[in-house]
Amino acid sequence: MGALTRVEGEGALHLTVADGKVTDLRLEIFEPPRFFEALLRGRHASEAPDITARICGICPVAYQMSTVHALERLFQVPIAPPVRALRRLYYCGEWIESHALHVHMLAAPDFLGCESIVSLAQKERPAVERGLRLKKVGNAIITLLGGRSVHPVGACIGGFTRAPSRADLTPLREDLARAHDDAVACVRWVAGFDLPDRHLDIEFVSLRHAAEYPMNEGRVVSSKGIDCAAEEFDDFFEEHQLPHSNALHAKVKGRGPYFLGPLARVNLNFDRLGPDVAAVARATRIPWPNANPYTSIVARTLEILYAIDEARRIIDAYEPPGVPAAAFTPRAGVGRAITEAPRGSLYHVYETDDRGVIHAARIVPPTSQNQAQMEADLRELVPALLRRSQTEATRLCETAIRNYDPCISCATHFLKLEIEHQ
Amino acid sequence: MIRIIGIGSPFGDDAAGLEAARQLAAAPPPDTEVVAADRPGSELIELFDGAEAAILIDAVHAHTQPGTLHDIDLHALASRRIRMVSSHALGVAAAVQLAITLGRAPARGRVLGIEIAPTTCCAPGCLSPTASAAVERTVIRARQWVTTLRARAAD
Repeated sequence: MGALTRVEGEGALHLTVADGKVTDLRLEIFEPPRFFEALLRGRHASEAPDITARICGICPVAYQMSTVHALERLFQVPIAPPVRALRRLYYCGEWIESHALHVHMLAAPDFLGCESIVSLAQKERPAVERGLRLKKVGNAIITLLGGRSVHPVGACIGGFTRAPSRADLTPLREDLARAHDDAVACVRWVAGFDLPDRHLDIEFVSLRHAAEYPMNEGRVVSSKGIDCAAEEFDDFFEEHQLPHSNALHAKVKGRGPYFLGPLARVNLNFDRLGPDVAAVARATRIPWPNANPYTSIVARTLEILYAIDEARRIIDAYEPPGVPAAAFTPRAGVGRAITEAPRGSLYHVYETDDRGVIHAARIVPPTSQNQAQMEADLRELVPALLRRSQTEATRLCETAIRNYDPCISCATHFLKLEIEHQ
Repeated sequence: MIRIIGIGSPFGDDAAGLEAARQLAAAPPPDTEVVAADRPGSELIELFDGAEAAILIDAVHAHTQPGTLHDIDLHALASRRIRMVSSHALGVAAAVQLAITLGRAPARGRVLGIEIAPTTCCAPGCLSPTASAAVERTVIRARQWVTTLRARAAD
């Protein structure tokens, strides 16, 4: 059984250079295994959403959602339309807060010559204030539906432990109306950055839904022709272990690395963003779709805008469900689901017995799936950096890594770059 | 108004700040507002809004004896080598620094840091005897600072 490793840990980039050429490149993740998949074994399915919410402090909703969808598919739980809408609202909240955090606190300083959010605030105070307002709106949505914004507890198999009234949602509606303007300004702000012009041969992968921009549901599609259900994930993708990383690497079978996250979603679902967001996207003068990983930050802001508008639509149409959560009867079998975490597709598999006790769990997070793609990106980038100073090369490598918003992004602010010259 | 902000998570001794806030909220000093903030990250900045002064209480690791009470000026926090216990993108020290940069930190304030050590019990409400004793001293110190900060405001 593979160990779940992955989040909020330290990373290092190890390079070996011989005769001016990169002969070895390893993005090392040495965060110790966290064994969540083992922790889930022997626990009842009803406990799983609260356990998986602990995996990540930034994107707990995604872990909860992939868990409940996989188990509901297995137990064949009917989900009422208002509950489905609330889950989409919940996910909007997470995208807004996670993306706003990454854009302002982690990525934007890279493009504006700032060391941190604090120095960015000295230079671009209104933009930082705007980012904090956006993040606050996202947190407010998660708190309303999840009980708290960090490791929320509101989601359960069948729905939520409590469904809000229409009046509960009214203050959010007002905040979201203001946030729309902030989000449009945010898109324009990042589109004005001096983004490097690099285009890679990338296979983008994301969910695609028949009618919606994908969050909780859809088929897995890729820019090179994959179109499969979550149940077929292992027919097209494979994970493998490498000695230098405690996170499993992943690749498309028979091909190679693939790229998950906001840029993949925008590229593969531009027609699902709706006319208003699409118009803002076109006004950036960035071509969509595109294969420049540095435009990820712009894609991220487009998703903030989309999530704000979608949250408003959901709240406007909301009628509380009759019961907050549908009852369910456990059954033996295997349930699988993929939802779109802020950083990309998050695949969960659970095997239970007829009492609902989990016998096996498998969690495939986006950061580990993106790891091989990050290395491929760096392998192409690094030769041009070898004549730069260590400080400058480190900064440029960090910037490239942060395009993927890895869950080790906190640690990659302290990326240790080792260059071994032979 | 002086806002007292207890920070932490519900688990083990990391709850020291939350427990101090709970005890202070049971009998709050006059003209204060007591808030318990579960890992607030950047939302700490909003908790400063409307406060003339603030007292932050949090668990810290500063390589001193467990139970040690660190009493630091809010505006000096960024220069101290004390790491607030946080695994999130914006820790307490960084959030305070950002608030100061944005002009959103109150002019006066203290940070009361309770030195904690790893404990065997991480369950909610499972505070070690050392941390419990430190929380009691911190609550007394917080009350003293309310008086002092109010007197300074009157000067």
